[in-house]
Amino acid sequence: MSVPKSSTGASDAALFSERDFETLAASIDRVAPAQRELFLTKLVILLAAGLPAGTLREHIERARMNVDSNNEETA
Amino acid sequence: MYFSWKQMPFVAPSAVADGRLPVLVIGGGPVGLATALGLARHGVRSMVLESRDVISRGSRALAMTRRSMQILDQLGVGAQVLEKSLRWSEGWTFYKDRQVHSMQLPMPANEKHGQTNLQQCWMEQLLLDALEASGLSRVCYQHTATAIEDRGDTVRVSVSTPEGDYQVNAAYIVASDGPRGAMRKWLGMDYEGTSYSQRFVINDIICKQPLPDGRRLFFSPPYLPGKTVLMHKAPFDMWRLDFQLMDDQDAEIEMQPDRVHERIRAHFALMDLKPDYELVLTSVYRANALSLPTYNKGRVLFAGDAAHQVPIFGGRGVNHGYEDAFNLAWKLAAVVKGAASPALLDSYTQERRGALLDTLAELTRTTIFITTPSPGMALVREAVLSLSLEDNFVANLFDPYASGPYDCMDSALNATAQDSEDFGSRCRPGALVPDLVLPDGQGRLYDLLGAHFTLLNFVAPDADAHHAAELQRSLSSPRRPLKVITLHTQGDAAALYDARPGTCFLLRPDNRVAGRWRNASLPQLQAALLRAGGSAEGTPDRTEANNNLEVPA
Repeated sequence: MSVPKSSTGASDAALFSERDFETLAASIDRVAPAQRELFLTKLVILLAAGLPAGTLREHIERARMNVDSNNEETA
Repeated sequence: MYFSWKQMPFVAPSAVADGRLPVLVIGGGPVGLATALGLARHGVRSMVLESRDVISRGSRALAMTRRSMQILDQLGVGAQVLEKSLRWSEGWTFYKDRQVHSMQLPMPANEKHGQTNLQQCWMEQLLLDALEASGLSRVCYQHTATAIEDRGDTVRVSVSTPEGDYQVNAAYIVASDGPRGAMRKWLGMDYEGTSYSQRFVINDIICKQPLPDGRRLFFSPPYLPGKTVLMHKAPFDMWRLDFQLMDDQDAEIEMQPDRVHERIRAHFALMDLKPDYELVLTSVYRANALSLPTYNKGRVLFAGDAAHQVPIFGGRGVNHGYEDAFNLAWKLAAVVKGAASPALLDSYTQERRGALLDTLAELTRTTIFITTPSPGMALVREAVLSLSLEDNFVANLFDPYASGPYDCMDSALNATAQDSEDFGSRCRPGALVPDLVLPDGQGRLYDLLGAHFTLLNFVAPDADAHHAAELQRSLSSPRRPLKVITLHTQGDAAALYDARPGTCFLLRPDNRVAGRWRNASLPQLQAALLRAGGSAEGTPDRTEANNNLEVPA
């Protein structure tokens, strides 16, 4: 089983708070399954609007790598 | 009906003159006709071959930019175009059944023209009338080029007509024979780029509904979810409607009258209009972003859709074609007359292909937004459009009319560097010189620009007038005619052009700045003129010889 490189985690700026966790999860649950993909796309757009250039691309790459590594572990 | 098509007069093969034409234009659409008219403006004879027996049918290349109107003015048909055309400056974007964006295309105070719509059939007719009035060209309908042969200093073209075949020789060929033209295949050339799979059914309708003029764009209308509809107003109560087809729709079926009327009625219902219209024409279209690798190969020059294809979104196709024609005409005329080296024609490819690639880069984003060629594109567009019901997310994602004409900053003909002296970004080498109304009833600057180079010379109000006359005598020649226009530094022109006493701009016959100086010496100006004009000093002047060749009466 893989272990996170550091148990202390990244900087405070990168933490995902428990409150945001609950907010996001609840929002997804409230949307009909057929609409979830569109809802999440809109959410990304709203969050990305106004970010410094390149930020969205960095986050996309990080998420993609995470998905790929998870797929390798479960394969 | 908004236009009356008639069978065009047939020129018998026996009436085609022997001898070597200066220029043979293959393709009598708007770009071919504009090229021939541009050559005539420079005193060069040509003959135009056109396979059709009538003017093009349908609205087709409908929308013209300010720059195209400037070109048409200088070709002598601008006033006739304005008389029949429709001008517009607004656009509206809709998502489902609600408006999400509007745009204005403001006209700068110094400019004469804005966006102008006129059906292609009218454009061809007006260009044809002007060409025939010039006495320097003739359009031969039902004359089809069937083969070419490079014979060194001549190209021999085989031509087929209903009354027999013949061959004609020309020093140069302009291939303006459209996207399905044979010329590029004969030369072993092919387009490079992208063809989009999404198709549009295009309808011309006559409808007298009192809607404001302008362009309307509908994303995901209820009767066509996930797809796009464009709606353009044209003169003579015509509307042009472009409907994107669903991926699994058969274009042949969707072009049948019952399907066409069903879509149009659904669109009228969406707009809350009575379906009171007359269907005039139906055709199908697929967006392409293509270009030949070069627009000059040997003695053949490619122009318009024969050289490149541009997605229709943003109305660039024929506008690129008119600029091709105007850029090419003065250069080809200079080469034909022996006033310039044939190497000048390389600058035609450099400049026009550069402009085309710049447009394709911009229109690719527009085309992707309109056609959404992938599931990801469709999803994000759907998200952006629905968010735009509350916040204008779509504004900076879709505005194909935002950009201006291409500046040929890297042109080999530019005589001064982009950053030389203390000039700003306006009027830089390669850019189009801005138009303006001149003082003292002189009219507009563009009215004074002609089939020659121009030196725009700024002087103090009390300057000696003899200097301008001396410049004119020193710089102008029969091979490279030049006109000096003197402007005082007190006035709108000096502000617009960032000019001080001594500032001067050398302008090419196609209105582009070839060089700019704060204080130029005569040798500097002479050198710039030679560079911009593609110097061919020492070659024989062939003006008279070329103009003695008769074209069919």
